Formats: sequence, structure tokens, C-alpha cells
Amino acid sequence: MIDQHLIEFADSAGYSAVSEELRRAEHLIQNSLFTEATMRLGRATEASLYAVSREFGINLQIRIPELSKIQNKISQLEAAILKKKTTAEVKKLSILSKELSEAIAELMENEDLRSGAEQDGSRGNDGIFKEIMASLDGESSKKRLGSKVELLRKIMDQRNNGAHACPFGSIREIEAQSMPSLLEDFQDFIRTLLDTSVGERARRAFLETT
Amino acid sequence: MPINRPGIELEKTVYEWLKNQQPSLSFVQCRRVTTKEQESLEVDFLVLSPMPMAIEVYIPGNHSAMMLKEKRFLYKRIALAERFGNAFPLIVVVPSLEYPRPIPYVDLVISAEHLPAFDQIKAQIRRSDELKRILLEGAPIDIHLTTNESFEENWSRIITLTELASSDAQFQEQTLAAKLHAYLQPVKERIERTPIPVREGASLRSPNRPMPRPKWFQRINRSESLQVDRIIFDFIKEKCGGRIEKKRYRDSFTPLEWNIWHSPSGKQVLIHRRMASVISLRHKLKEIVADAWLARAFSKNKFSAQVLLVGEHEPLDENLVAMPNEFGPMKIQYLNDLEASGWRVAPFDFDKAEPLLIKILKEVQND
Repeated sequence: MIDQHLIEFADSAGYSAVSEELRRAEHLIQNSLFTEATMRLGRATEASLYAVSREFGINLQIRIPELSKIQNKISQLEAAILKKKTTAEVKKLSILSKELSEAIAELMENEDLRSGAEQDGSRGNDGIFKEIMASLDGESSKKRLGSKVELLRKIMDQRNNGAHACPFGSIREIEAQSMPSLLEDFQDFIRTLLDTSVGERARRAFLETT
Repeated sequence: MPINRPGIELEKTVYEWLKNQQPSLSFVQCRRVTTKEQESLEVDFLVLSPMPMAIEVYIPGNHSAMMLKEKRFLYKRIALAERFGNAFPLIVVVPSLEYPRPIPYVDLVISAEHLPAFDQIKAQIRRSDELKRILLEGAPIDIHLTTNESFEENWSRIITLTELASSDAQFQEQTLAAKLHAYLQPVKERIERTPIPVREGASLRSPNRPMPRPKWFQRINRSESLQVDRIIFDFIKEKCGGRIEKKRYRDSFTPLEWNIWHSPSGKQVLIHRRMASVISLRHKLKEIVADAWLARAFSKNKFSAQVLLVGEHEPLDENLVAMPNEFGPMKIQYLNDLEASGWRVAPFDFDKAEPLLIKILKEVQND
């Protein structure tokens, strides 16, 4: 099961989104929904990366891709209408109206989409992790967190296994026997990241006395 | 176990002090638990914002009790530094600031009589140069972890001190076990023949709870214990050459005295013997980890290796062996915890022609 000390620690340290994701993952595990729990653990990992990034002043630029795509197209059409001033350009807005309806339907249906994603897709969790590393001043913190870069890749692969169907047509499920090691990996990463962040908080608070 | 009422009262006082400062302050109370993660974080309170710090409550005892405790504080300070970074402070709250010996290795000592406003703590923190030195220079450089295979090979047959001293024991000539047996057997016999002096006040004890008779190894005197070391050191010189030097470091707060093996090639290896059962090893682990950091910091990292020789006094009680999760034969986890602090750990496998201690020293010499 999920380490209650980690949940309590995340809560008290002000990372309530992380503790809430962990609680929900625990609920799913208790109900033997291991695939869904793995996705939740992935979200807990992302929540911890986002929370620490915010604390370190890293700009995350989180957007909802379905909406920002439409916004981009509206901007392009606006420019075209202003330039050509034709009804043909105005008519193209109706196509976008259909895309907007579809996006609304998808957002109503899928909670995951409502959490958004980074605007710059190339950065991803790896990129955020690198920025967090670059913001650290303490050598010991850098060393400890730096040792977890491969672990982040591993747990994100595990999250993807839970999130995506098997491309070869078979049913893909995370089984109960995988959960202990999977939980250990996810918690190890989240614990180290939050510890590093709290440690950095202490370092900054006591900077002038050390 | 007796209930530590003053300790509980002091803990309550600190709890109320912290609680009164919520919501601008958030903290967790770390209760004693047995999970691995928490073992390294045995502190009473962990403040997480706005200024993260660990807080311990402590009722100072007499001079020697405080000496025993100080390495445990150092262990905690190291554990905090390893988890949160060197800047993470450890604050100790005592009932009053009158006690027989300073409390080293912590960042601040405050009295429960005058608990300051939380934002005043920052200005009061004065980390000692000694603590800074330990945290900066004491971290392990080389870590060798025992694997399951080498554990099976080297730790499956350990000879206890009682077995070495037994009159029935027979060991192959020229082994270290045979040499120690020749010395310890008459020592044990003499101790067992010597009546135990009745201590004043002993007759006041309830006849239903008689004083337990001390075991023979609890009555070994210091010179006899030193002779055991000498026999081991002579064996090292015979097998590996070099010389043994006893060295004192006087510039540390805790008196440090180490036995150092100088190899023929000029390398220096710290050799430290601890007699500890699996159960007591778990409790002594904190002091031993602190020792490793102290040794590195005050020797200016001169050692090519630090070797810890762990011996047991007598075979474990069968009832304890039957509980493998808690006290089963020498848990590899305890070994690895010690090794993670930079020790290389060797057992009393002295009936072998080449005990692990000698193998390690030869390896260091040839490295």
C-alpha cells in the first residue's frame, strides 16, 4: 500500500495535489483497479514535478492542447480575414465551430484532458526535471535528485503502459503482482523530489546562517 | 519499558508550541515506527514550512549518559543532511539550559522554559565549525555493499566469543580462532571461578526477581579486551605485514581513538572492533555510522578503508532465531546500512585460514 508518511509529508509540506493523487491511487488499488492506479501514480508524479517547479519559479506553460489548437487556428483565420476581407475566409470559421463542439464534448467526457499539458511538447517531464535540477544550488541535493533521472523515465514508461492500449490488439492490464515494485518506484521518485524541494526550502531559509 | 513521563510532558509542550503557530507553520509529528524510511528519520517533529527543520526533545542525564547520546544526535543530523541536504537544521529542546555537558552536533539548543517565537530561531542558529567539518568532509567516498552471494559465503559461519573461549572447542592450528582460543579459554575459566562480589543494596531486591548473574564476557576487564585486539593485530601483521598504530584525535568534541593498520605499501586502514549481537547491532548502528563520519572528518580522509569487525558474544537465543523477520541470523540489511556509511564489515569467521578481514586488507593493499 501507499506509504501514509509520504501522504502526510506531502500534505504538510503544502503539496496537497500530490497527496490527493496518492490517496486516489490508493483507493483504486484497494479496489483492484491496478491499471487505473498506475495512471493515478503517473499523475501524482506529474503533480509533484509541477508543484516543485512552481515553488522554484519555473514557468510550466500548462495549456489544454485541444483548445489552444483551435485558438491558433482562429488567430490565423483572423489574420486571413483582415488581409483578404472575403466571405470565403469567414466561412472557414464554421469548420472551427465544429472542432470547438468536438473539443467541448471531449473535455466533458475525459477528466485527464482537463488537466492540460505543457505547451511546449518537446520539454515534457524530462525537461521539467532538468529545469528543477538546474535550479538547485545545494550539491548534495543535486546529487541525490540527479540519481533519479533514469527512475523518472522508468516510471513514466510504466504510466504509459497503464494509459495506452496494446498496439498489437491484445488486452493490456497492469496486474496485482506488478504493483509492489511499481509502487516502490513511483514513491521513491516522489519522495526524493519532495525531500529535495523541502531541503532546498531549508537551504534558502537559512542561507545567511550557514 | 519504563514510561519516560518528563520526556512525554516536554514533547507535549513542544507540540503545543508548534500547534499555536499554525496555520503559518506546518509540521508532522514523527512517531516511532519501524518502516525502513522512517528509521533514518527518527526525530520528534519535522517542521516543513515556512522554515523546515527537525526538532528533538531531550532530557539531559548525567555526563556519561550525555556522552552516549551525542553520537545519536550526530547520526540524526547526518540522516537529515543525507535526506534534505546539509543546511537542514536539527534543533534540540531541553527542559532548561542547565545541564552537565554541551550538546554537540546539533544546530541549536533551546529551553522549553523560554520557547522563542518561531521566526526568531533563524537568527539563533549557529552551526559549529566541527559540525560543518563533519558534514562537508565526513561523507563516504567508497561504498562496498555486501551482496546476497557474498553474505552466504562469508557470514554463514560466525564464531562467537563464547565459542572461542569454550573448553570443548577445537580449532585448526595457526588459525586466528586457535590463537584466540588459547588466550580466552583460561580467561573464561578464571572469571567463572571468581565469585561475583555482592553489591551494596542487592539484598533489597525482591527474592522473586533476583539479580541476573552476569555472563562471563560481561566481566572481562579492559586489559583482557585489549589483549584480544592485540592477538587480532598480530594475526594481521603475520598475514599482511605492516604495522598497527593507535592514534588519538584531540581536536574533536568526542574523544576519538583509532587503531590504524599501515600497510607495507603505505596505505592506512582504520580497524574497529565492535562486539554486538544482531539485536544490539541494530541499536548501535547509529553510533557506528556516526563513528564512520567522525573518523573521515578528523583524519582528513587519510584512510584507504574503514573496516568494522563485528563479533557476537554468544550464540543467539533459539527463540529469537525463530523470528527471522526481526532477529534472524545477521540481517544483510543491517550490514548494508553500515556499509552505506563507508564501513567495510567483516565477521568473526576466524576458523578460516583467511578470514574476510584479511581478504579485505589484502584487497585494499593491492588496490
